[in-house]
Amino acid sequence: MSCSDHLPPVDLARVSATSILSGEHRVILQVLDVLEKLAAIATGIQHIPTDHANQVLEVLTKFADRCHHGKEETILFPMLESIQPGFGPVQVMLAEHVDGRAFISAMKEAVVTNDAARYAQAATGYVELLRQHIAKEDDILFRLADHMLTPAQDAEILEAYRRIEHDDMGDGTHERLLGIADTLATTYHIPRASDNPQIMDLLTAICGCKKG
Amino acid sequence: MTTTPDWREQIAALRFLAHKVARVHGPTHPDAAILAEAVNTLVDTPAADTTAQAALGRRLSELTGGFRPWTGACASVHQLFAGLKTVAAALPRHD
Repeated sequence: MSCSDHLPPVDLARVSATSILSGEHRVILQVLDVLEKLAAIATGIQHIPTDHANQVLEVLTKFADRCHHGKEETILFPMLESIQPGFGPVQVMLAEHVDGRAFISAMKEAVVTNDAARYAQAATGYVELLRQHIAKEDDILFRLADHMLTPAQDAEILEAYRRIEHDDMGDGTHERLLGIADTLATTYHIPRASDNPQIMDLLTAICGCKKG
Repeated sequence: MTTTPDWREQIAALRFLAHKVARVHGPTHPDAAILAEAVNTLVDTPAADTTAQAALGRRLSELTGGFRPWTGACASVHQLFAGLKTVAAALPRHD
């Protein structure tokens, strides 16, 4: 039994430092489902569907890694470590982010060299890694974080997310990447996370205009 | 694999912006929620249903007052309306 088992799951009906990230996890899982299909195609016909593979890589690089992991690595994790120095789960998550980047690099190289076998291998490895990683964050780390953060710290984190999503990424980039993720899902007959109203609310909760 | 038209990719992104604008500005601009619903409908129109696409293009224009943001509108609204104008121009016409 994990030490987080007695804590309630992240509340997706409330905008918070962790629910925003859990909402983004649903989109990343949707993209992983697409990636799994691309890996199967690459294995089956020994050819990479290049356009879609590049779109998936753009979403993984900019949305999953730069925006989502950026929020974790530069905002949430440092806050948790400031509350509890040496907080163990964070170190595990950071190591898995590094592993994930290696898989992304391998996929990019495989697309450039049209190496279908290498692409499928890297894609499959990435899918397995990220699915487990997301489960650990949602089921353990974020529950612990909800227990650790005060309302003031939560609000501070949300304001910092706004800076990443709008100032660093640029207005409209977040929505453009979500749109690509949804178009890919539609193409490969995968359910869109954004069709869940709670998830849609979380994905659009951080507005650059700072109203509401 | 068929190619997705550009307007489909644009409207998929604008769906998120429309939802955000409706959530933030809906209390003072009730049409924003209706606009978000129209965008949702357009996202899922079948490729062959050009009549519905044309009608939704006209509806978007009506709901946005010819794609003109209201006075004092934020950057998100300007971005949304500009994007919808581009999409509407790319939609089939049934005049």
